[in-house]
Amino acid sequence: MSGNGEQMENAKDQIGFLKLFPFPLNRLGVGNKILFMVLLIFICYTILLSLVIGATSFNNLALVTKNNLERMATLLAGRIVKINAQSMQVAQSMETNYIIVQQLQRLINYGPYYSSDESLLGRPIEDSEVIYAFQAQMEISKQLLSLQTINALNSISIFLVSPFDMVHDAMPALTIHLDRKALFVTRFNQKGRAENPQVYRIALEKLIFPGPDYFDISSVYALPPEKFYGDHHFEMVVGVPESAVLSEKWNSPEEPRSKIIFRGGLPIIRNWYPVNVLVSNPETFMDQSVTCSMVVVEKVLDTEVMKTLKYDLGVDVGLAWKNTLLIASMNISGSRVPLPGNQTLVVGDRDYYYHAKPVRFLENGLSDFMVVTMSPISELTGLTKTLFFQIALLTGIAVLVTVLLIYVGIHRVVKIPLQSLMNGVKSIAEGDMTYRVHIHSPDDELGVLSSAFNQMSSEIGRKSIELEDVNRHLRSSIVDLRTKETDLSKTKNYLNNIINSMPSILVGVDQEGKVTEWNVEAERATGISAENAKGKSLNDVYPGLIARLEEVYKTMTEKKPYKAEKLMSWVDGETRYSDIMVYPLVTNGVEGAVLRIDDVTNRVRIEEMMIQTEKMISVGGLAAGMAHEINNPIGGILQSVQNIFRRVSVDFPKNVQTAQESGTDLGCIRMYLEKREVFSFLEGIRDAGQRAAHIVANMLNFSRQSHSQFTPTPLDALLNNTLELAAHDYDLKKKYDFRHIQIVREFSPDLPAVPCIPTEIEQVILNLLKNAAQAMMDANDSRKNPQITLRLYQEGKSAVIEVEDNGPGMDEKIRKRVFEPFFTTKEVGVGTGLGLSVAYFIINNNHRGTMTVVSTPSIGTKFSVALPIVGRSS
Amino acid sequence: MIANWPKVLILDDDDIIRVNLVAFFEDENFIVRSAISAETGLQLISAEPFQAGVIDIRLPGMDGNGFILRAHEICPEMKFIVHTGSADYVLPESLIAIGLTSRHVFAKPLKDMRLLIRAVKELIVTPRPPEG
Repeated sequence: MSGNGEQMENAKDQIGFLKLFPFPLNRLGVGNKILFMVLLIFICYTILLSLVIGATSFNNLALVTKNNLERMATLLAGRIVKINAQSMQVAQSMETNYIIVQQLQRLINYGPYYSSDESLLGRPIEDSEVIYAFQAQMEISKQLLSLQTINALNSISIFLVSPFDMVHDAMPALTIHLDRKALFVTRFNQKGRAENPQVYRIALEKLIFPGPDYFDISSVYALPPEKFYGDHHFEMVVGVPESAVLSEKWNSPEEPRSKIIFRGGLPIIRNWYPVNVLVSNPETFMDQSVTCSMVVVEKVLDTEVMKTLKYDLGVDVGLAWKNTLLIASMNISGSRVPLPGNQTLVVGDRDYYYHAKPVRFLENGLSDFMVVTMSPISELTGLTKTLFFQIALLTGIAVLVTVLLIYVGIHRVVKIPLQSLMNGVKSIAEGDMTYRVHIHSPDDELGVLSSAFNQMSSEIGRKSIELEDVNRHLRSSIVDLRTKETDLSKTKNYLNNIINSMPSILVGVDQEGKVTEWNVEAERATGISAENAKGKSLNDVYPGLIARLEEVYKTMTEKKPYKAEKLMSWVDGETRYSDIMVYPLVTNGVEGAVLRIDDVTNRVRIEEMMIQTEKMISVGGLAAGMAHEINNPIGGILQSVQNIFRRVSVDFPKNVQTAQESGTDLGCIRMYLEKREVFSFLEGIRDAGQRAAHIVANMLNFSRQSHSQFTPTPLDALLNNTLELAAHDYDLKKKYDFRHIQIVREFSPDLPAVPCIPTEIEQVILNLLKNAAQAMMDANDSRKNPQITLRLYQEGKSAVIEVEDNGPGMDEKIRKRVFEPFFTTKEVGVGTGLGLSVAYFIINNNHRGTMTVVSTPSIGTKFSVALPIVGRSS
Repeated sequence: MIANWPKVLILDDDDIIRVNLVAFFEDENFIVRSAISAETGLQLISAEPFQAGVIDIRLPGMDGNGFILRAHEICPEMKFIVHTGSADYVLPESLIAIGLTSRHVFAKPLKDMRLLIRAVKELIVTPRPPEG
């Protein structure tokens, strides 16, 4: 949309006020601008509406609340009256309660107040009668306890009244009092008198009524009363609670009464009710209903009662006296809150609407008491807020829905046609002449505009298609040319890569013998780069080929390939071998040739070595045939010499003894032999015999491979054994001073037994040890202590034995030839030149292992022998 | 006391070898008997028990391998060392079966006869059930 500058200008002029907004409103499309304005109007409307409704609804709610409070006050007054009536009913029910009436009769007829015989007046009441009265008190108390609990009364008291004025001091006297905490019973001491009674108290939680058959046992009536009270946890007290005191003079016991009194700041409903009981008239002996006791019931109007009422009515309630709130369902913390005239009052930090209504009680019909109903104003505020938010939410949703509908409408009627027209203009701007605007409704302004646009674009399209055809033709020609060019250079690279990847020297020459091609291998071998070589005469860049140039020209003229093998040359004093091939080239009449030169020195060496090996094997075959015949006599010679040395040795007692028996002395014999150099001759025989044995043994080694047996051998034991052999070896001992060489063993443990021919491996190792010893002797370097390190470890599937010395080492040329048969650096007669080649033969040929050597001049030499651990399959 | 020294049979048809071995073993305090052929060797073994034998292989008549097998039958406790000049000697399976290994095979020429003494001593000392 931002692409259309003209439209933007118009929008700026028309709705400039949109600049007032912090975000770039003028970037919005026409449809979205209209939408935005509609949204704005609706939001203002919503806020206003919500405010008005909120204010109105608060006033309405207050009115409703006040009406409700008034109604509830009437109900509350009724409830309070009902509570009073209920208490009175409890007192009244005594008269109809059979058990209570019966027990009251017992108390009257047998208790202290009733006495038919005036002569008995003032006499002490007997123990059994006290207990009898107690029994009646217990029965009544049981009934009172349940009445108190059921009706939630605070106290019930029963006072005895003397019927027929039989008792002189006719003041009603307390006999039973029950409140929420304890039970009080009164005991009288003298017949016909209520003076100085004794009061006993028991806490309700300790109270256990005597069992039903307790009083059936006649013996209880013989108990002393004190013990009796004590056994039932009653304790004697002085005085009774305030609620058990009949504070007013009792004048007319016939009328029940009701009154609100104050005790401890709390209003209490108190009801008096005179109980009539059938009692025998002492004069007529007729049963007569007379008032003989009075019941006083108290109900405290405390916060708990108010709370209960609050739950019933649903508003806060209270009781006021003389325009002062005494008690309420909410906590007024004991303070007396005055009731102002404006129907609102403050409790704590909250404001309440209230309504007060006078309440009537039984006594005199008039009182200063009023019931009060209250409702916190904050509740109204809360309700109003909720209402406000609900209205706001509803209106908000309505606005959203409306905006959405308008949006859809605008989108369909204006935006889509406009958008497609715009897309059309864009497409033409981008060069797409085939684009046609879809006409949504052909009759309106947009429809007319769209069809005019379509006509215009098709005209432009036709022209540009013609132009494009020409262009396309030109372009494809260029592309074709480029592709061909790339293909060509690719092929060239490909060919160059192939030529350079060849391990052979490849040189191309033209008819004049000038270099045309010079590959990487040629650069490497000659040290002349391709750049320098190309265009020069082959003579100049490869002088080693001078002798062959004639062949090269011949090839070109005769167009026949030429091939020469194993041509010898001397490079740095070393003989090198190479194969040369010359191919004639015929391309478009231009003649030339390609030379391929391969260095085959290594291959030739191996071939020569194999030929040598073959020779050795045939020598071995011959040796094997005659070995038995030669070995026996050599053995005879060597063993005879050994026996001769022993038989003239002073170490054997038998020699000394035999010499004495022969009339001479072994010492003399030895002296003679020494003086006449017989020992030297004997040693000469031995050395010569050993040399002969050595040669035969070495020759035999070339024949042994097919017959020898492979035995799984622990190599560490074998190496130790070989070292021991070396220590005893005559050659090593005499010539190389093996004892002065320090032997270091580095054997890795847990190496498995390796299948091999132990004697052959021993021979190889012994040979390596000898070589090392000799090398170090020859060097005679006093700076270093001669040391041979013998290693044994596993590497992959091979067991590796290493023999490393710190001798003079050798240069590369000697190192390369060290395994060649009959190659030796030792002077004539010292070595046969067979030792290392035999060792190599044994390892490579007989054991299918490998033998390698690494050497650094003046540092040392290391021979490594690797033997396959897995057995030979053949 | 001398009766307790081990008794060794030297079997070799080559006089100079046989004589040298006998002398060397005697000097090492072994009781030594020698035979020039397998047949005479077997006669000796039949007559008296031997602890060890140093046996040449290539012999006139019965060869050393055959002798060792027969001798083992006659005197199962006898131990054997093969001392041969044949370059292509291979221990036959039958001898491996009665306990011989390549360590008991010595090739001629033997430069130092102490190796034989050591091998024989090792063999005799090899644990075996006490006699009687």
